[in-house]
Amino acid sequence: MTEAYHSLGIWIAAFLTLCIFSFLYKDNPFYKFAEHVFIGCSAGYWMVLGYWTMIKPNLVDRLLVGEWKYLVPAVLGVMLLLRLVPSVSWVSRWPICFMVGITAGFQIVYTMEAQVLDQVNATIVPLWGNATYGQTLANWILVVGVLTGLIYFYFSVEHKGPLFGWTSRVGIWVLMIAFGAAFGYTVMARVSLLIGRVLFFRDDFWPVFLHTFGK
Amino acid sequence: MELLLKLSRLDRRWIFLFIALAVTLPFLFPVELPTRPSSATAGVFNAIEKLPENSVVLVSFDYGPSTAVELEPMAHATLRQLFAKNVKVVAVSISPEGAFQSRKALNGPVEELKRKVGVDWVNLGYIAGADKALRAMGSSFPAAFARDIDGRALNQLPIWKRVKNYDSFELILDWSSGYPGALEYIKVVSAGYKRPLGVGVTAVTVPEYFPYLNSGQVIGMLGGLRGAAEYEVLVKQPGTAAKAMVAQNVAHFTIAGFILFANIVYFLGKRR
Repeated sequence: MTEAYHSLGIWIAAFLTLCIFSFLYKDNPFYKFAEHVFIGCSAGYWMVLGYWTMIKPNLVDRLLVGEWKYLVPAVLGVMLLLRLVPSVSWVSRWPICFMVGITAGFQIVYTMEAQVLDQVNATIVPLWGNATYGQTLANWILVVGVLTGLIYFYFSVEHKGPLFGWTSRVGIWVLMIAFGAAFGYTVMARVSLLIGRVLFFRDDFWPVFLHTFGK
Repeated sequence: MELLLKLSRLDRRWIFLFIALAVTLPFLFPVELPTRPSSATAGVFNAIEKLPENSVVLVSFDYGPSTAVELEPMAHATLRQLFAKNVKVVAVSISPEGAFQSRKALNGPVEELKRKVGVDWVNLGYIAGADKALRAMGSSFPAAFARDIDGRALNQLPIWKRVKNYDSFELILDWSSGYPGALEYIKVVSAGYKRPLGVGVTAVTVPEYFPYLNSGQVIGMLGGLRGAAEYEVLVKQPGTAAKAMVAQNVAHFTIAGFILFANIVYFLGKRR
């Protein structure tokens, strides 16, 4: 019976995959059907997942064993949902304020350390006297790239003349190269997703297909 | 010239067909292409190779089924390497979908190398709270977890006696597809607790993590399918990723060819 359910699941997955790919030819009812099924299933899946992995273990189970301090987040959660009632929607601002305050306070230390201080530190590199010429060149590219990129985003002065005009143009080139690299990786990621579906058809669907038709 | 201009108005569905063929044909007619591991990938490999026997490693699974094609091969390859070196593995997820993926990723290597749950590895499952959860784990793992993903009492498991906080781990690895994931580990575990961290990320997020690799905040990085294929080469066990890279390469050449062709036609048209 389990095997039959597995086969049915694979057939449904294959059918929905083909429905989605059919959009590449043109928009059609099969694509729309698969799109609606995907959105509905995702909403249901995340709701169930949210309850069983977050609300139940972190709130319901703790309240059930008498840990009453968890009534505070429970009340804040209910206040958040009051956003759906227009006459008292203002109440939801309080838990939002709480969340924003806590998150900002929490993030500021680690973000400052990881994304500002450590990154600035990594940009302070020797521009001469390195072990290899390659390292020296890499350090120059790093420092010039960072400085010109920063100058491009400095809008308090008009980008004219040798200091702000030329350097901001170099900054644009640096940004374009970075965007090109990012685009290349994005293509790689999207092709990987397509490869994932091809592997699904080869490794999962094809054996089930042969089994279904008794080969 | 006329032919070129006609081709410039080519229906984009032909491009889709070419890409589909470029991805499918290498699986039907397999060929081998050389894969040379990058220093980013070697960083993770060397860190695991240097681990002493019986040390404990934290592995975080923070990806879902949609990105498993990129991240699962790297998880398999590293887990095999860790278990083969008799390193203990503590698995966790700060992303809800990751807990399901961690079961799937652990199954193969655990069965292949006959590792015992509770002794050689334990799966803690999902913990809510993202960076807040990471901070809670940094204070005390026993306070943050009472049971493993299958409901076993952790204080009854031998491996758990060695787990107190991040200092208990020689190395921390995170396989991540977005939020919450590698960035949270970099902020809390690497910057906050100064523990060695290796990451595996999807190709689309690789450029975001290069600065952290360059600054030494992560000791190594596996980037997308290519990173996974490179790792499979390093552990000398070519698997799904290595085979898929051939399709990836052919697809890239096809796309690059189309871009080049479109530019030539564009400039020729402009000259006319």
